[in-house]
Amino acid sequence: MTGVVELDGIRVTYGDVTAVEELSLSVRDGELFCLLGPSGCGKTTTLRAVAGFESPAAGRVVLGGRDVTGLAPYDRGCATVFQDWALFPNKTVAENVAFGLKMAGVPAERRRERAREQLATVEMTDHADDPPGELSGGQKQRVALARSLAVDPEVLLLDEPLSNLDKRLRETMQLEIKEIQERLETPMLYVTHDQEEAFTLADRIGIMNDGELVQVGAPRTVYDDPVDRFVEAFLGSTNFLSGRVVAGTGADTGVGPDAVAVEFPVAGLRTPVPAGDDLAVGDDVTASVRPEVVDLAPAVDGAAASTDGGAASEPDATGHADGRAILAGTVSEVVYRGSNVRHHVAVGDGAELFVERPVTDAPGLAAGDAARLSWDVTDAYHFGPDGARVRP
Amino acid sequence: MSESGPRTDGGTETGTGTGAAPAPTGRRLGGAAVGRWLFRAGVGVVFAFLLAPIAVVVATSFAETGSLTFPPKGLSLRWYGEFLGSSRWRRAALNSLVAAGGTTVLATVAGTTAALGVSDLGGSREAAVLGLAVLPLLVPGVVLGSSLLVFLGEFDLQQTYMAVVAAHSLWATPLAFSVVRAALSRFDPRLREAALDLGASPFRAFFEVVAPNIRSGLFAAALIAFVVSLQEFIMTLFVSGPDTRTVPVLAWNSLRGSLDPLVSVVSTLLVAAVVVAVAVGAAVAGLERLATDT
Amino acid sequence: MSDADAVGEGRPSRPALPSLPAVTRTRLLLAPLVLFDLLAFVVPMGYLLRVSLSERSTRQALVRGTWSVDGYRFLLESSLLRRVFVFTVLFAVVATLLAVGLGTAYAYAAWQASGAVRTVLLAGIVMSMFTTLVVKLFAALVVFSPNGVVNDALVASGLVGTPLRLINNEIGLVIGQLYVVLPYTVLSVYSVLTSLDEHLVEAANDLGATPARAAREVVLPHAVPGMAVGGVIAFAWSAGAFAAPALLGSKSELTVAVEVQNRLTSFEYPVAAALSVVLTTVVLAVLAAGLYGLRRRGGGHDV
Repeated sequence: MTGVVELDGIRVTYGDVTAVEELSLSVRDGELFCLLGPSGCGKTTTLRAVAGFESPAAGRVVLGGRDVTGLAPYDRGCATVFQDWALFPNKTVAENVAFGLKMAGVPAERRRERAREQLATVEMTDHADDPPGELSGGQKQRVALARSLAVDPEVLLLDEPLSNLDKRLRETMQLEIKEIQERLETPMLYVTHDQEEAFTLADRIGIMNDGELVQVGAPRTVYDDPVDRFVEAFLGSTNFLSGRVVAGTGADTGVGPDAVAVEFPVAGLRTPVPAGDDLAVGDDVTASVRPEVVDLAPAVDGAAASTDGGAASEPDATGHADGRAILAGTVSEVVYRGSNVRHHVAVGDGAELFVERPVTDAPGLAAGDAARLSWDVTDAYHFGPDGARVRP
Repeated sequence: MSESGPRTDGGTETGTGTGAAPAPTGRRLGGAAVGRWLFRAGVGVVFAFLLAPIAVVVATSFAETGSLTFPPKGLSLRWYGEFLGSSRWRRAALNSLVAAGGTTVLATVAGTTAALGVSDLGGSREAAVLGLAVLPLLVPGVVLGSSLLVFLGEFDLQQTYMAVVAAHSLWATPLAFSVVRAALSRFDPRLREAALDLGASPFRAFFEVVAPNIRSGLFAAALIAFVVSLQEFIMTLFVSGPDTRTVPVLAWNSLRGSLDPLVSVVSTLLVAAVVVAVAVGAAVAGLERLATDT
Repeated sequence: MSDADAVGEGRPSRPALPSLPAVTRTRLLLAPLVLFDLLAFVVPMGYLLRVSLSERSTRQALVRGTWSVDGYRFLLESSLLRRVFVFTVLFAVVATLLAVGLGTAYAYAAWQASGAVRTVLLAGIVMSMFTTLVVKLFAALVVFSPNGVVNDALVASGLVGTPLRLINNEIGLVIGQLYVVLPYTVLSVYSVLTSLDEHLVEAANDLGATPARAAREVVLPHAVPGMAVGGVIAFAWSAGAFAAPALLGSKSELTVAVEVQNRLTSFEYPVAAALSVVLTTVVLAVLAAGLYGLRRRGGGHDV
């Protein structure tokens, strides 16, 4: 099945700078596709290439089965909601909404009617005759949405439309956009740098870095199964540990012949990582241990008790016990963040890990307390020297 | 205040500082105040130097007698009547309006389209176009006038309206160009993109969205082109003939003879036209912008 | 879905113009200005240069098709023309210095003033700028002539015994030229000052600087680019001054521009053209030097 938007190997350059490199993606009919990435990653440029504001140096843009690569923006049948909404200050709200229809040659009477309907769907009927300059941010946002939807676009392009709103309004508008999208089933290509927004809205997320599309998938998939170190770092805060492969496959790691042994000097760990032929002795490896998978307990008399009540075993020479990595440290800071508590724990050599627990399930540690950290080694992700995920 | 208090020396220091501040500050300002009043008086003299002559000329245009004395002896509209009765002056006024109209259209169109297009060029080609556009403004009018006279003379086109409009546009176009460019720099390019995105052709996008949002700039550009044409006379002196000479040129020619009271009348009318233009321009575009954009 | 139908109906009616490539669009937009400047400026100036390289003749204005540097040789050999050039440059320097000095003070006053005073000062300058030269010079003639308003007032007040000679000499020339260039120097400086925070002077006063000191230490350095632009404009226009010398000067205060017109009316085209070429070269060289200096200081400014 081909998508409503098909980008086929597009490249966009500004002079000597390549903003988007060999990018292909497909937006399916009726879905909300989020392009997510840090600023400067090329996501807005990609959107502008779809709209026709940038002409790709290579590749094709196909909208609704029609190759529009060489066409001007006004011949494309898509509509854009801009970051600052770009409402025409010289026209009333209703005239703004009717603008696309006027350009299409729809008779005045019919335009007015249609503009009224559109304004009704975003609950802005009362402001039909106001100049847009007098509206609040949220109201401008609604009008911009109505104006773009009025032309019944094949795909709606949204360029960080909520980034100029405050947090609470942003969350309300996210739900409104989601609701409109589900009702009208208009496919949307939505650009944002805010991962929470992407997770809230998207049917699928495409993560961009440095002009390239790194990973595409459903929000849950992307979060649970990051393809590389960049995605892992970008999607949420995590603890990265640097290590090095000290023994190759075939060595006695205790988890089978495919595993290599990775030593993490900071944590004093030597962890078996099932890597097959992906890693060789001497390779740099980064482990990501997310704050929610780490178990935190007070250290008691050198030994420690796990918070889930089970008696803790003594770690072996590699720092492991029962398939869990175990680490001693000192709590350096406890931060209450509303619904959860974040503990920063110094683990020697100036390194620090952080652990998050729900407020209701906090271990009751204070700064200066000795603590014991542990996690199931299969919960950690490992990334090779090129940043790619090392998969079992 | 409380900061400046302790710094000022020689004051009777009290515990609070703020209370002590006014006395020494006041004493120091005594010397500075004289300087400030001298400065103001100087600026006042410059202001009077620039504008008083114009006022005197306006006053003399209402004189009863033929000699140019100030204050005028007796008031009358006699010279205005003479002006209206003179076919030479009427013809010159008509020529001025034709030239100003033609210049306004040519300079505003060429200046506006160039302002719209030039930013797309970028780099050295943008600089080249900017240089070409502004250069005529910096070449002495006598030189431009002679070059047009000698060149157009080859085709017997000197002394035509075309020659006059071309000469005036040499100075009006760069001014219109820079005024529109300044207006466009305040215009959000996303608005134009939004119009294109919603199906407007570039042509319709300009008239529906760009022009309405820079209209004070467009108006100011046209106004400046009109006024530049109305007041220009050095180039016109070279390229106009008996049938196309404008008011300033006829005034100049009359002045070479003697101090003609009719020139006072013409000057007053020209000044009135400029006052109206500046007032309208200030109302539409704002005086501040009119003063700084050109 | 009837809404979609409405749009569907409309779409085909949109003229199916092939969308212009961006490059073509840019060229079309630039065409009027570039063509105009080529036809009315570049080509005529080129033709003038060609004329300056024609043979001189006493029988006709221009002997077509001839090549000669007689026009330029005449400029070098004629002591009259050398004197005219030296006088023009001196006059331009004096007018420029006066215009920049007075213009900066005026601009500073307008910038410092608030409300109505600022409006009046600005309106006065815009008025003067937009008033035709002929009117301004005619007015100056009326006011500064031996029996004009200024002399009447001076004599009546007893400050001078006999009327001062303020026109038909160098003083008249400079007075007249100030009417031409002062508005531009004022506005060049003013437009630079508008980007300066008005509270800076208050802050400087607060730190113990007198108003004059504050102006010198804080405002003046900021105004330098505007003074330079205004100075360059004033010099260019004063070096090419025609109207003020012709009307307010006497026969002994000839400028190059006046001489160009004299030679043209006596049909000495090659000499007039050579004078024009040299004058333009001098003016543009000074402009280029001024702008180069300005850019080196880091103040990129459009004129």
